[in-house]
Amino acid sequence: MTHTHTHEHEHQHQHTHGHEHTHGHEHSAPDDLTLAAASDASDADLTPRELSRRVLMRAAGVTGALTAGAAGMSGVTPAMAAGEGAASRGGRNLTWLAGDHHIHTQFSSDGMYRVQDQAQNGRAYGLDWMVITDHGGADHARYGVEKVNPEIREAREQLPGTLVFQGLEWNIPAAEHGTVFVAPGRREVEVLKSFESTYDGSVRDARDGTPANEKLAVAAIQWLGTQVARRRVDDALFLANHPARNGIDSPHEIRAWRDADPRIAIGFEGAPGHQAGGLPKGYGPGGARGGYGNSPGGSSFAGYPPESYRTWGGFDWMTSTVGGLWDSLLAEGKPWSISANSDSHRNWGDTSTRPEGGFVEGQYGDPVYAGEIALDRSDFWPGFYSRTHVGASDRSYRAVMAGMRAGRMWVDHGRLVKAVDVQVRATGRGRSATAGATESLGGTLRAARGSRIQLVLTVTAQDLPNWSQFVPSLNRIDLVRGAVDVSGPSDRDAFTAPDTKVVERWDTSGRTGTFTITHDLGTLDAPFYVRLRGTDGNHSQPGALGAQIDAEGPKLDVAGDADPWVDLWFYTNPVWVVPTR
Amino acid sequence: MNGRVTTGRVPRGPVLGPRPGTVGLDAGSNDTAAVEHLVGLVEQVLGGADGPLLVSTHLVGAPGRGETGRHHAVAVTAGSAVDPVALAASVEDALDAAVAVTPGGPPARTDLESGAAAAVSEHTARSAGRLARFAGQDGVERVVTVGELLESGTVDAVEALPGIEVTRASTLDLREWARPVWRAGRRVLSVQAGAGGVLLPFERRVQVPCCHDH
Repeated sequence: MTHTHTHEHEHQHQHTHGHEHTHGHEHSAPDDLTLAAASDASDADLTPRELSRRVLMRAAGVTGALTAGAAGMSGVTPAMAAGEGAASRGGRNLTWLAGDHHIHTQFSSDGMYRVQDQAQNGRAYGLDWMVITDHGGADHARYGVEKVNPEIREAREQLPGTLVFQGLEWNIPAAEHGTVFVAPGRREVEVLKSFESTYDGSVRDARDGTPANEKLAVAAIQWLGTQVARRRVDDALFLANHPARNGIDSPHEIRAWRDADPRIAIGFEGAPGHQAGGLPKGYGPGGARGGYGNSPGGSSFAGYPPESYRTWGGFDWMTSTVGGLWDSLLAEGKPWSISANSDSHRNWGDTSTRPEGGFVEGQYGDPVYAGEIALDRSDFWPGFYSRTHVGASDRSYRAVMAGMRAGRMWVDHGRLVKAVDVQVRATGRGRSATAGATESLGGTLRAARGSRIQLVLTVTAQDLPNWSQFVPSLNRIDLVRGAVDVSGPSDRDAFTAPDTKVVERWDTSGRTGTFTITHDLGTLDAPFYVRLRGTDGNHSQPGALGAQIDAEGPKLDVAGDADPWVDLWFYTNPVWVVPTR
Repeated sequence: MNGRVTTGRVPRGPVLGPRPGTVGLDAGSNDTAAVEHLVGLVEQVLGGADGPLLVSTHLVGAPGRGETGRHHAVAVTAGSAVDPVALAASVEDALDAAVAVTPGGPPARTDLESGAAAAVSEHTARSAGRLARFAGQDGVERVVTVGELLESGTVDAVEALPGIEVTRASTLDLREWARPVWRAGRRVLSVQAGAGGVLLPFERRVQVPCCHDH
């Protein structure tokens, strides 16, 4: 398949066939690419335009399941688990673009910076893409969502090559916050404003954890899918932010968002922002890393343990716990990605402050020079500490969104590692048609039962100093593996994956340049997934589910004493492996 | 769980019924700050009564809401009988909001009445709830060792987050406050690691509200 085709097919939005949760939704008027690719639509059902499209796609060797893979992370579907469908394609030529989907500006009542401040700092600190996400609410819906747009468009012009998306930080009804963002276009403001007015938990007074409010959140995600299907915007994505902070994103709500429309709801923050929060008094705020310092409240899910309210090595408990909530989603074979962002509102070490005048008509005035350094703030500039890396087919808005949907993502803190390439491949003696097939992050390798499966991990050690001016050392890499059971959990509030654990640890201290680790994953007989994690190795403790699951997991961050620069981790998304007949 | 230090004492048996001085209050408090304010009002009204107050807060449900749509109610045992009508009047006046006091209070919204009753039930059984006022509190809300805290008789166990070492010699900074919780008849204080190796209460006095000013 040519590069051009790959790109074209990546920004369609197609249901994953055989995925029970995507059927029966009211996505009216699916776009013609979707219909053309749909293997269950006969040629007679298609308009002449759709039909000609299908013919072109057939000529390019693209049908059904293959396009499903190109349209997004497909995980493991029941049909795949039954051994049906085609084998995997080879790798892709990708550009890895670093970004941040959680950034506030002067249009948030707890923010202060211009869009330009955030965008030019983010670019200077090495980001390729950013999403501006001011808080949803009455003021933002009335003023901010419109007033921020010309600022964003100006930043796009002033910083060519840097992708600045408009989004908002949605108050998810009955739950936490989430990033919602759209591809730039004529209706980006209109769609966001309409979304916020109809579905924001603050605007609609729908923050309480009631069943009705939980349904409103599901309807909101489906509404976004409809906007894309109707081509009112080219694309839209939703990721939940700081999910474990207050224990109010229950497991069944997260599953409900994902299943509402897996094309839109693609993941959550593996690591929250506010990473300067735990810098000790004297040079920092002396608070909780990530702002994770609360205890359960009335809307909290009762099953979450106390330790879920804290960060572990800067990461959210749902992600940092091997065999925990994130793994429980992956073990169902369902796509769910992680990200790492700044959540920048007011930044540590900055010398500016808000001007006189307060928050009027949805905004503060431009920041002014303070004449003093702020060491009591919890946030870093975008790109300064947290990065979300996305494998994109090119440097474009649509390609970044397509890459995120496809799950081609890994995250790191403090520039711990320069590049990570994960390939999972089937080896054989050439008898099997699937021998040599390979898949990378977010992908599903489909190989003949009995194939020998191999992990090929290629790491480029960091050779540049980070923004604290030292070159970080990646001293250990861990391999996490879990079985996939597509029958799903009988309990939608499950938050453990009993089969998932750390299966291998590699000492990588002293390694420089680009090095490759090849690891035998055994003979393929049942679906599974693998994901990678790495660390500077400075802080560790047994994982939340015990040392036999994760002997050297991240350390539970200490209140008031969690310097983020000496506790660096990277995490990758999963790669799935499924046997075919 | 790691780091649990307990006294060797046998826990007290459950009290079999509400004592004459036990009432529940529910003003629909949405967070701990709101319910702590309610506790403060109760203390103002009843604090002059004989003996120390035992005040606990409880997460209670409301009809028609999901399992996560709960709020906080209060239960209080005073040294002598409480006048529920006068208590309701004082609290309602100070809060400028509806409140239910049970048993014996004036007619109130049914959801608040059931919340107040649920608080009394948990308080009486010592099955759940967090202790906001208890005998000996002033003596332990300072820098203490775990051993001193246990010997004070105010809590039965100190329990730390995973991976944290706790011994009777561990230092605990409770100057913010102490809010032990009842768990199956025992009073358990959850703690976390703080700077300088000092333990801090897991529940901090200042909770970070949603959309706060960073």
